[in-house]
Parts: sequence; C-alpha cells; structure tokens
Amino acid sequence: MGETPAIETQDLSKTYVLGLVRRRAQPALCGVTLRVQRGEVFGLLGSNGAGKTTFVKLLLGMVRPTSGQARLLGWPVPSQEARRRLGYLPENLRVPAHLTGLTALTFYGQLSHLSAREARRRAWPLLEQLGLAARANDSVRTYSKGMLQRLGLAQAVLHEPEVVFLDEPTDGMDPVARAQVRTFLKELQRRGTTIFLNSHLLQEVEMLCDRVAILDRGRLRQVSSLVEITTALPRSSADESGTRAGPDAAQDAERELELILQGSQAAIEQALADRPCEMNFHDGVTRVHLGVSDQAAVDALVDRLRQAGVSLLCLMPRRRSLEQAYLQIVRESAAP
Amino acid sequence: MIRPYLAILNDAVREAMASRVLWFTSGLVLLLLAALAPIGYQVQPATELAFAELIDAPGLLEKLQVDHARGTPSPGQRIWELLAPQERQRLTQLAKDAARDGRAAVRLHQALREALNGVIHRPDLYDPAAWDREALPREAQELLTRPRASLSALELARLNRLLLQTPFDRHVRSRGGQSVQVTYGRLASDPLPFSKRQLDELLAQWVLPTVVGWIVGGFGMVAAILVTSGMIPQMFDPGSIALLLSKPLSRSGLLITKFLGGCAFVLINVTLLLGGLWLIAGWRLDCWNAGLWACIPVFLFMFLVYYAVSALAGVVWKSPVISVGLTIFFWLVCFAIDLSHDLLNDLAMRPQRIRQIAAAEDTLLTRTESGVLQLWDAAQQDWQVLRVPGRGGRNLPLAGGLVYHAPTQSLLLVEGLQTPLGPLGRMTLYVARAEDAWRPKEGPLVPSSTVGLLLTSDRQVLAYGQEGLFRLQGSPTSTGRSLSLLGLNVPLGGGAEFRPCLSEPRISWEAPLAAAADPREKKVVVASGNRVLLWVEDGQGRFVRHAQHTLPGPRPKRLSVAMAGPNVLVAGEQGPLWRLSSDDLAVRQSVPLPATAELQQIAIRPDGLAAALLFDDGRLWKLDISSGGPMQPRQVHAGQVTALAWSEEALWVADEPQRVRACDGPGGAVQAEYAPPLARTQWLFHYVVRPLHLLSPKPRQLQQTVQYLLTGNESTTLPFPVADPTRLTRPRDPWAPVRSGLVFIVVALTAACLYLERHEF
Repeated sequence: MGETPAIETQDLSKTYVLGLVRRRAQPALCGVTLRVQRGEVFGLLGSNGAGKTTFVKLLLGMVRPTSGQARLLGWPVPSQEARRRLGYLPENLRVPAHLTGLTALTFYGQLSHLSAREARRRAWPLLEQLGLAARANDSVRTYSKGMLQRLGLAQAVLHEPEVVFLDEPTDGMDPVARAQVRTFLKELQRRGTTIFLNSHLLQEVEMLCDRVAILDRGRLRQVSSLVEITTALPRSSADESGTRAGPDAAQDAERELELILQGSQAAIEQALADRPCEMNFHDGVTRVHLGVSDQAAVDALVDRLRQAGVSLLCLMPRRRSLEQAYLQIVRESAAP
Repeated sequence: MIRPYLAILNDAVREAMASRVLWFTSGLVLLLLAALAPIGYQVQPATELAFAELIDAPGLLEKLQVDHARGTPSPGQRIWELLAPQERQRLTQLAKDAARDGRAAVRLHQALREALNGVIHRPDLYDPAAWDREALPREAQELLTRPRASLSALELARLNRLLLQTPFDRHVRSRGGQSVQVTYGRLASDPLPFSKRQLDELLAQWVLPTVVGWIVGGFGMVAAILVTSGMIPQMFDPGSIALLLSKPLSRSGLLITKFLGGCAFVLINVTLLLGGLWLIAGWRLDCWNAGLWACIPVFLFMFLVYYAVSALAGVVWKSPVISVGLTIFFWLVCFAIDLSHDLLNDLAMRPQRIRQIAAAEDTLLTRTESGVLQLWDAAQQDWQVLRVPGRGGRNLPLAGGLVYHAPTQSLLLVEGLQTPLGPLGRMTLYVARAEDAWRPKEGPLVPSSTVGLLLTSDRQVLAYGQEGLFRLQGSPTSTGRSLSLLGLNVPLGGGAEFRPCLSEPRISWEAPLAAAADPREKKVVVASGNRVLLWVEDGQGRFVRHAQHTLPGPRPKRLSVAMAGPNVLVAGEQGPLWRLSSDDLAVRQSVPLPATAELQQIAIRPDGLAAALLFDDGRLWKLDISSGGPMQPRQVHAGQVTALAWSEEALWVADEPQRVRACDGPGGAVQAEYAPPLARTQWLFHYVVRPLHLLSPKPRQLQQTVQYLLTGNESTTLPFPVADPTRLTRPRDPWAPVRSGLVFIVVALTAACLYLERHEF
C-alpha cells in the first residue's frame, strides 16, 4: 500500500502554440489529475482530439507540460530512470526494413540496455508466444500489419518493464490474433506489470482493463473501475481516481438493478410505487429495472416486496456496455 | 551506458550492408580496379630524346649546320649528313620562322627531336673520325668495343644516344641512364623522361590524388549524399521517433550516433577503393604508399562535412528531398566560394604579386609574378606597367633575373619561354634604360637554362645556370650585327655576349641551384644540390674555385643563398639556415627554420651584418648578425610579404596587394611607402571573398591533405629538378581544411542537437 503509484499526474496541462507569425494557443490537456496503481490494467478512452496521445507523450517525455507535474514509478517525468523501466508500443509502428523480426527485437532490446545475447535469449520465447517464431528470420518488410503489431508488442515487453504503454495494440489484427494478445496481456498483468492501454476498441478495453479514464476535450471526465462505470447511472465529471467530484457525490451515485419477480401485478406495483422503474409483465413473471442509491435501499425494497407477498426470483445489477456508458458520459459532459 | 549507442552504430552498418546501392557502388569500384589492374611499368636504358631533354633546339640546329659547313669530320657534320634533304630543308625553314613566331619555335623543337630520334636508331651513326676528339662516357666506350652486329636494337640506340648527347651537352640534357615506360597489358607508352623514383613521386603527388579526388571526392560524394540523405529524416517517422524517444537515450546522443552511423556506407566503399589502389600501385608499380590508407579518414571527413548539412536539414524539415537539395546547394556555395577565391587569387591577385624589387636611384622598379615590369609613378601614386615595344603589348614571361646596372643606368632582366620542365627556346637579356623611360629592349642572348643574373662588386654582369657561370662581355646596352646567309644567322660581332668565366670547363651544376655575388668583393657563391662552392676572381677575369662545403642532410628541393661582408647565408627550403664564412665557407652557425613554412628568399645587408628571411607563407624574419654571437631570428611580419631586396639605402619589403615599403636599419622603421589604391577586384578579394573563404568549410581543399598524406610534403612541387622551382611550389597548410571542416561539423551538429532537444514530437 505504501508503494508509489506507477503513474501519477497532478493538474497536468498542455497548451500547444501554433503558427510562426500569428501565434495562437491550442489547449490539448487541462488539469488532468490521475493515479494508476502498480499492477493495474488501465484504459484511457476519448474521442479523436481528446488529448489521449498528448497525455501519453507527456508521460514519455516527448512533449513538455505547460503546467502540472507527472511522475512515473516515482521518478519525475522525463527521466531516463523511468524510461528504463517502461515499454512502449506506438501507434503505426515503423520498424526499419533492413531488420528481421529477431534482429529488430535484439536491436530494441539493446536500446533498453540489454546485451545482445540477453536480448536474443529473451526474444525467442516472446516470438513463440506471439506466433512469430516461424517468421523470426524473415525481413520485416514481409510482415503483415498484425505481425508488425505483435512484433511491436514483443519489443515493448522484452526488457521486462514495470509499466507498458500500449497504443492501439490490436490494430490490424484478426480475431484470433487479438485473442492471443489478450491472453498475453493478461499473463503480463498476472506478473504484476502495469499496463496503460490506449484504444478505440471499447470491447477490448472492457475485456482487459481494471479501470478506465475518459478524456473529453482535454479534460478528465471520469475515472472509475469498469464495474462501476458500467453499472452506475450517469453522473457529472469526476477528477479523482475512484471517486467522484463534489460534496454530493456519494448521494448522487446510483446503481441500476434488475429484478425478476413472481406475484400479483398489483402487489408489485404497490410495493414499487415510491420509485420510478420499468416493468415488464410476461408469463407470470415480472422484470423490473430500477435505481437504488445504496445497500440499505436494496434491503428495504426486498422487505417491501416480501411483505407484499412477491417472490424474488432474481436480483442483479443491471450492466450497460462500456460503449453505452462512454457515450452517455461524453454526451453529458457536452451538455451545457 | 554506451550500449544503446553502440547498438545504433551496429545497426547502421547492418543497414549499409543490406543496401542494394552499396552492392552496386561496390561493384563499380571493383570494375574500376579491374580496369586499372593491368597498368604497370618497365625500366629500360634511355634512348630517344624526350621533349624536355632537348634544351636549345635552335642552338643545336645552328651547331649542326655550322659543323657541316666546316666540312671536317665532327659529330655535328655526321648527324646533319644522315638527315634527309627534305628534313634539312624543313628544319632550316622552321629555324627562320622561329625567330619571329613562338609557335614555329615549338614546331622546330618537335621536328628536330623527331629527326634526332630517327638518327638514334641508325646503325651507321658512329664514325670514329667524327668522335675521336670527344670524351665518351664509359658506357659508350664499352658498347663500342663490341661488334656492332652483336648489339641489340636497344643497345645500339643507347650507344647512339650517348654519342649524341656527349658533344652537345649544352643542347641535350641527360636525365640519367634509364627511362620508364608505362605499360597497360601488352601496350607500352613512349619512354618517359622520368626515373622510377620520379615516377613514384608523380604518382603520389599528382596521379593518385587526382584519380582518388575525382572518383571519391566527386562522384563518390554525390552518391553517398544521395544514399544517406534519408537516414536522418526516416528516424522522424511518427511510428519510429516515438519508439526511439521512449527509450532511455539522450536525444543528442541518438542523433550523433545516427549521424556517425551514416558513415558506414562511405567507409566501406572508400576502404574498398583505396585499398584496391594501394594493392595495384604496390604490386604493379612497386609504389607501396601507406598514405593511401591514411586518406580513408580524410574522405570520410569530407563526407561528414556534407552529411552535417544533410543531417541538420533532416532534423529541421524531416524530408530526404530537402536534405539532398540543401546539401547540393551547400556544395555549390562552398565550391563557388572556393573557386572564386582560387580564381581571383590565381588570375588576379597572384599575378600581381611583386616578386622582385630593384631600387634604382630615385626610381622603384618591380617585377610581378606574371613577369610584368612596373615602375612607380609618384605623380599618379600607382604602378605604371612597362611594355615591350613591337610585341603587341605582351608581358615579358618570367625567366628569373632582375638587376640594376648602375654604370649604364639600366635594368637588366632575362626573358625566355619557361616550361615547368625547363626553358624552351632561347633566352635573351632585356635592357630597360632610364633614358628610354624604362622600356625594355632586346639585348644579347643569354646562355640556355639561365636561372638568374648577378652583379659583381665591379659591376660586371654575370649569368648563372646549370651550365655554369657566364660573364657579359661588353656593355649590356650595345647590340651586335649579324648577317643572314643561306638561312643562317651569322653574327658579325660588335655586340655584348655572355662567355664562360669559370676556370673549370664543362661545369654542370645540378638543381636546385642558387647563387649570390658579394656586393663589395669579387666573389660568387653557388649553392648546387648539397654543395656550396665559393668562386673568387683571379684578376684575369676568371673565377676560380676557392672553397667548397657540403650541406648535411638530404638534398633540398629549393635553395636560397646570400653573401655580403664576412657572411654567406645558405639554406634549403626546410632549413636549417647556415652561416658560413665568406673566406673559406667554414661553418659559423646554424639556425633552425619553422617547420610549417618553407624558406623562399634570403636578403642580406650589403655590409653582411643583418639579413632578412622570407618564407612562402609570407612571414618575414630578421636576423642580426652584427654581434657575432648566436643568430636570434625575430619575426617582423606575420604574413603576406611577397618579395625582399636589400640595397645600400634600405630594406625593401613588398607585401599584399602591391605595396612596397622601404624600412630603415635594425629597427625596421618605415622610411617610405609605395601603395597604390585598391583596384575593384582587389577590394572584392580582400573584403568579401577572402573572409567568406576563411569562414566556410573547404571540402575541395581536402585534396591538399590527401597530397600531404601521400607525399609527406607540405608543398606541391614537380619531382624534377627545375630551373626555378619557386614557380611551381605552392605552399599549403594541409590541415587547414580539416580545421575549418571540423569547426563547421561541430557547429552544424550542435545546431541540430539544440533543435532536437527543444523540439516537441
């Protein structure tokens, strides 16, 4: 618990200055405060131009922040110490055409301060895991997009980094390859590697990530666990990891429940008269969707139903897809 | 720490090896080497006359004709007899035309040489009666003892060559007993007038640097820039730079390592070419020159200068096309600056440089590098050019020798057509008199291969050259009469002429050669090769050898000598400076000379107690010899001095562009200054071109560094002893282009690194 977070930012902002003569400011990131714990699989979501790439570049030291601070594994950004412990798979990776799969891995491993021998020793198991062993000695010029992505993933983890930044890791891959990559990433996570995932494929994020952050127009709208974000009813922006902003945040957070009930329709309606809900009666079974604020409310509800003689066949949180949650959040943040 | 950077270097080599262009260029290099491999040489006895071995064609022709006209058996009579009538007629006509037309002189030279080479191969040349008064060399005597039929064609030609050159040694120069032929497979060139050693020097000084310079410095550089122009921009592809910057590397380190890695392509090709040339030159021409290997880093360095521009452009614009375009533009700019500097220097500035000074009473006369005679016009405060009437205003070619003859109040100078290998045609003494407004007029003929003129203490005019010392009999201003008879120019006497005045006949002084006359006593000192000879007049008009001294060390390429009072100063171009006694040439002292410059001229005060030394980089040293103690040279001018003269009144110093100053005494205070206003080209050169040239890198001049590495010489000379080596010696600082290039590379890379560190990706 006392461990430093893998990634920590405090009011991180970046404004680009464009133009040579008439210079104009282009804000890209505004006051992002974020913490990613070690061992997490963290997803960063946002539309095009939301600031995701800028955020990652700030963490990698490719651009300088206008204000705020960022730390990687406790080291301030940019820091060579931090960069020794991170791996990165950029979007649209370009590997020099004169390299083969094996020599490319060796080369990138040496850039990460591995010896050539050590890099080669580690490269083979990785290539096998990612299905590239048979093509290891072929020129990368002959690789497909998916193969290049897998090669890129291999170079990102070759030196056993503590944090891995992946930018669209499954871009261009077929479903089988994607499944392979997901398994690979889960294995990474199991070993304790922190994974920072930047992807447009929300299904992918949903399958992999523990927590996600949503960026919209340079501002952090929400940071929650996947369960929370898909089960919670939509609320306004959050700026702290795992919690919501504002004094009424706890009261505002509601979960949606799905109940399957058996009993008289009138009794059910009467028991649930105090709260808005959706009811669907069919074949003597009633499906109800309603929102509750906390566990006490759930208990009270169950008591009322039982008192009304209604049987509770099933009670479970109603989950939306991440895409639905994301779209809802973005819509709400755009509303005046 | 350095492992990642080594990996980048290693990757660059791998990238170069994987490049198809590399294999293509390597194939071209191998083809070139294969084409050069059949070149070879063979050495054989010298037989036919080479161009430069016929010194005085008109003189030899006249001698042959005169000998034939006498009718008694003689070598000249025999040779003329063997020529076909048409040949004789043609030669006679050409001799007549040559008196008026320089081109006819060249044709005469060629025709006579061809005729003599024909005679050399005749089995019937030798006539015992004709050669009985000639002291033939031992080689010829041995060949004559053998039956003629037993001699091979080569031996016969060799014998005839010796028979030809022995009686006519003033007209035919011997360059030793061997000549070299260059071969290519089964083909062989005409015999060249070089020894094998001279061929090696030619190869090292001219051929190899030229070939290598054109191929590697020219085509190779263009190919290398085209191939490597994309390496730096490719690094900035978004999918590539992001990954590289995420690694624990410094941006500057990444760029510099990538930059150095780009040399792999050039290194492989240059090593292949120069290694191949080393092998071919050594195996086929017996010229193993390790300097070729040392040239590899020089060409690599040349590439780095251009590549620095390409890298900077690649970092800023991230485009291979812009990189190539800017690099070519940069090359053009450097080339233009360098060429402008050299052209202006060679065509405008250098020819105007004053090389000789003659202070005549209240008149100052100078001669420039191009041979132009100038008179200082006090009214115009400028130099007035003196032209030769009847020669269409053509300036007098340089031939050495400029003295003021006080008794006749005339300036004496020698004119003749000099080629780098020696004089071509006759040399004439020109006399410019005050009463003729210093316009030079033709005077008596001067002995061929005259190097300079001397004035003795009793105002006798002497001419010295490889054939010895000659005194002008008669006044330099008197001209003789001649009669044209049957195509011959028969002198009728009455004019001045140069006659040998040494006590020893048949003197042959080897190059390098320099001489000086004591201004107050009848003594002449001659420095020839490694020897210093003191000649004293015996009262009967002949100079007798009085003392001799051999200078230690290797034979210099150039000598400077001066004599006055008790001192003789002599030095080779590299030094040391020797002070010898003017009585017996006993060594008094020596002073080392700077290693970075070559001595060009020594001027000594008429009392012999002070001297000034001029170096080829324009530095001027002064020496005080009055104390008798150790000579302590003192530098008084940092550069740009071009000529010296020391008269009774002052030390005259000429410097750039055309200024002459008269300096007084040991302190050197300037008594008078003669400086014309700057002409437009001079202004342009000094204030625009030269500063730009100083600041810009000079990749073209890395050729000088290549020559230095191949020869070890810091100046460019021909490997032949020439009459006036100063004409062909170009001083150079072989490391100047390396210094300026290094500064440029550092500045360009620093700018690129700063940009990269600040840039956001």
